[in-house]
Amino acid sequence: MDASTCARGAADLAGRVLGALRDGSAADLADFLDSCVDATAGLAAVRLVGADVFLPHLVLDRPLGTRDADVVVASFEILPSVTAPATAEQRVMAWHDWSTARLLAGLTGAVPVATPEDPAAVLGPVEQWARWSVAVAQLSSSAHPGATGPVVDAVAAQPLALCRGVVRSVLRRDFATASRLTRWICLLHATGVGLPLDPVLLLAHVESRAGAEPRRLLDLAAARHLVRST
Amino acid sequence: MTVHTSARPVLAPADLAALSTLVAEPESAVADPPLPEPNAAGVLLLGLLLSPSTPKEPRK
Repeated sequence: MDASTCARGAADLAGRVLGALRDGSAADLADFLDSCVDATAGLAAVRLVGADVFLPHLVLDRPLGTRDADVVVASFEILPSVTAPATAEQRVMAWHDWSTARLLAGLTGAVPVATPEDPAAVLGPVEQWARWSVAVAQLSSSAHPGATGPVVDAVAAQPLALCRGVVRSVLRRDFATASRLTRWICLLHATGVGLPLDPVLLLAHVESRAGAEPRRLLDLAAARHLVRST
Repeated sequence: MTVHTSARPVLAPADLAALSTLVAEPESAVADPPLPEPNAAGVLLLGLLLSPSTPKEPRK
């Protein structure tokens, strides 16, 4: 599998999800996969975008079609989840996959998936909030409307560390990380967690500087919806 | 749609590692805000010393 092909496919898929959110339609994962020259890279792109492929269904309350569900299932068949993550990247991947599989189970009525290990293992000590917030950013697809679970609980319990992390990323002009952390900020705001910064102002600041990368725009679209839902 | 219904081989562990790397995207390698340069004061002082003198009023 070529990583750059997979990344381009993920950007294409994220663009489709964005279009679906704007138009009020479905992302049509099956059509996306049919459009891929390399079906394997297409399925890897589905895994990379992860739970965000379900955003139109969560935001617009649309049912998930069987064909689209089959695509996500196939992406797990071709690339089985890591059962015993050993590295930091594998831990992130395990929770990223868990979020995808959990939403898939919720939308299709399938059997819920087993939860990975303690979220502290993937996030690290909150005292090292700079490193902690980068791990939180890597799990941004878990911060969707109605999100629950151990990682969400762990992040919601540390609003100060999250705010420090997002302010640091803005000061570093790392607007990719800032976009992902802004999504978490907006999720916490939507769930009533008190924050020492204004999520609406933060979102407007990051939106104007985040660029045009579709996956970042998807993060910000999710953040915008979370802010509107409050 | 026929593409994703056909049987495919399971990818190698290296492919999963590559995908994990893409998922666990690190923060950008942007430099932190510029820090004060301790030697800058000396450079500025040297510049002042080497700067041309104040021009004088031309004699009539």
